[in-house]
Amino acid sequence: MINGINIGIILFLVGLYGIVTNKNLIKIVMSISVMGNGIVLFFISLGYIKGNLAPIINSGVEHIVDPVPHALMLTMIVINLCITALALIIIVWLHKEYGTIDLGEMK
Amino acid sequence: MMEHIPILILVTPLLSALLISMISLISKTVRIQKIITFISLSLPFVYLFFLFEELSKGIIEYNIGGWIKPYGITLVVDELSFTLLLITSIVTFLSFIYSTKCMEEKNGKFYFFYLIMVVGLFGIFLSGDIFNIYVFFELTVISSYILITYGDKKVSLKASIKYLIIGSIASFFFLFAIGLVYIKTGLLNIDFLSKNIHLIDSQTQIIIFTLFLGAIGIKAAIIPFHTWLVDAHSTAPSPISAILSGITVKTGVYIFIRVFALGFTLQNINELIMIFGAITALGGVIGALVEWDIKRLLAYHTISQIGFIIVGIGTFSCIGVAGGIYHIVNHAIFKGLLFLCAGSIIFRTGSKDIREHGIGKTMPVTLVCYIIGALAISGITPFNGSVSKSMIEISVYNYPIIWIILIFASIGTVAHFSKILYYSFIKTPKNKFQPNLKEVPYPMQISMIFLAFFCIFLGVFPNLFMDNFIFPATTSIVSDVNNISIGIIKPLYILKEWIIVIFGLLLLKIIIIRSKEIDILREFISKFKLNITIFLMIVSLIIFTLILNAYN
Repeated sequence: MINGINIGIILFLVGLYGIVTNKNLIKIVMSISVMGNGIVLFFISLGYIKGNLAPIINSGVEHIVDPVPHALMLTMIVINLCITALALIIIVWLHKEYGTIDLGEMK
Repeated sequence: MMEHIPILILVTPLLSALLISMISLISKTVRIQKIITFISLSLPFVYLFFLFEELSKGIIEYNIGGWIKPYGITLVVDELSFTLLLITSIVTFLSFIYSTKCMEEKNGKFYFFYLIMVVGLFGIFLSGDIFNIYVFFELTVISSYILITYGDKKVSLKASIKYLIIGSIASFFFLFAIGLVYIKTGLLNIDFLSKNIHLIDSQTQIIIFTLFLGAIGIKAAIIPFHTWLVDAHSTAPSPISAILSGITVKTGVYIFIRVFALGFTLQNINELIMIFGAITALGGVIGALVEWDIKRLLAYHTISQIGFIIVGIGTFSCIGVAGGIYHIVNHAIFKGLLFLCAGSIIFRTGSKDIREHGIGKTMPVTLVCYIIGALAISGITPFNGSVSKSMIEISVYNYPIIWIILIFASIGTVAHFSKILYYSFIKTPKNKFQPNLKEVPYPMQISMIFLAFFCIFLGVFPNLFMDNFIFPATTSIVSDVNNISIGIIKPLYILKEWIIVIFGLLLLKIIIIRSKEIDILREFISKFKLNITIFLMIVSLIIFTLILNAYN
């Protein structure tokens, strides 16, 4: 069944696979991002109910989608951005120190 | 004013951090930054004093923005979080005093990140819903990733990126578990969740618990999820190592207590958790067996002590949980003390290898503080470690195998701390390169002396802390309450402790004789790369799920 929740879980596992199999640090950071996006998709789609409206209080709006997971994901995306940026900065430093971005070659 | 104290604890260091970052743009002097940090780290003691009076009336809840409980963000102070807030403010304050001299050459944004990390730590212990715990945990770890890189440049960068990769996996596991909980219950508030978690069917409960275990295992460094800890804690600057080992790892254990107290209705989780704890307790000691680097030794011992705590909490009996929580407090103090002592030794000798130290009696304060810390971590009677360790050992009398493993771990602990004592202080190295060693500056001495004082104080008067905080905290978690009074002097325990010491010294003798074989073992352990360790983590989680599935 193709829906947001299942695709989110698949993306999560793909990211995990990427972290385990890669040794290049940039690719590992990319895998972390993929894993994070899987989580975002998972949360966004668990709040979504088909046919319901946005949660803006107005006359005539009765069936609304759940806004809480969407609010959580805004926080999570910001945190994920921080982690990715920090990881890339550390990788630049590592490249200056070791001359490589491959974890296996760093001695 | 009084009712806003829970949020003030968070806001004070946060605003000070902002102020510091602004001031550092204008003036380059570190003195102002230090003064602001000093004030904002000493204010929590005042807040906690007021909170203590409020707490005697009942659990304090603070709704941010006035939104009521299941909808808004709630800060909760109960006895457990108060205990951890108190210990966090003590250790962070004393580490700051230590860092003012130890980190003298660094003038960048060190104190900014330091305060942000303190905000995160306070936030974890204050927040009343699981998503906020995630947010504050990220605040803590992101600043620790940066603070680790202030250590010895080349190695610490590598440790930092390792910690970052494994830490992100932990966060995603945690978020995934939160998502599943939210699908099934529609709740995030811990208080409400504990009433509703038994409504979830057992298959989903298994998955949720396994994901939580993966996340918490990585955060609290339970074996086999521990690999990031040793590199990160050993390469960070010493005051930061003291906080990472003393408090940040404990946040994982704290979340574990909270999650465990939610009341999963699964069979045999207690036993499985205790097995994890016992493996961790022994594995940490074996890891320390092969090390010559003083900070790596201490880092491996952190893993071992976490094992003790996890065993205590895993029993889920009154005495076990109380012992576990008291061991969190005690371990924060003596491991902080030991890391600061190690920092002092490295500060003067410039070497991390214990075979090159040979300080002798040139640093008397460090020597005495180190001995007090070592006796406390070994669990010798007048010191604080003995109380909590004996409580944990009493709680596992029904499981003899786990009890024996814990005794072996204690023997190993004694062996390693006498190993550091023997090589760093007593034995004279072959090539002594620094003849004029002297004691470290006064601020560094003061922090060590205070922590050593707490080691003795909490050991001699355990009931003071127990009756006020730890038993009320335990009774809110565990249902079967039998009040156990802790006598200090029990002849049988003292006999057991000294037998352990004798065996520990024998083990030390073996280690000294067989140092060549030990080097081979270290080579073997260092072959495990990041990919393999993450793979092993996932495999062990899958095995854990399958075992739980078979029992339920």
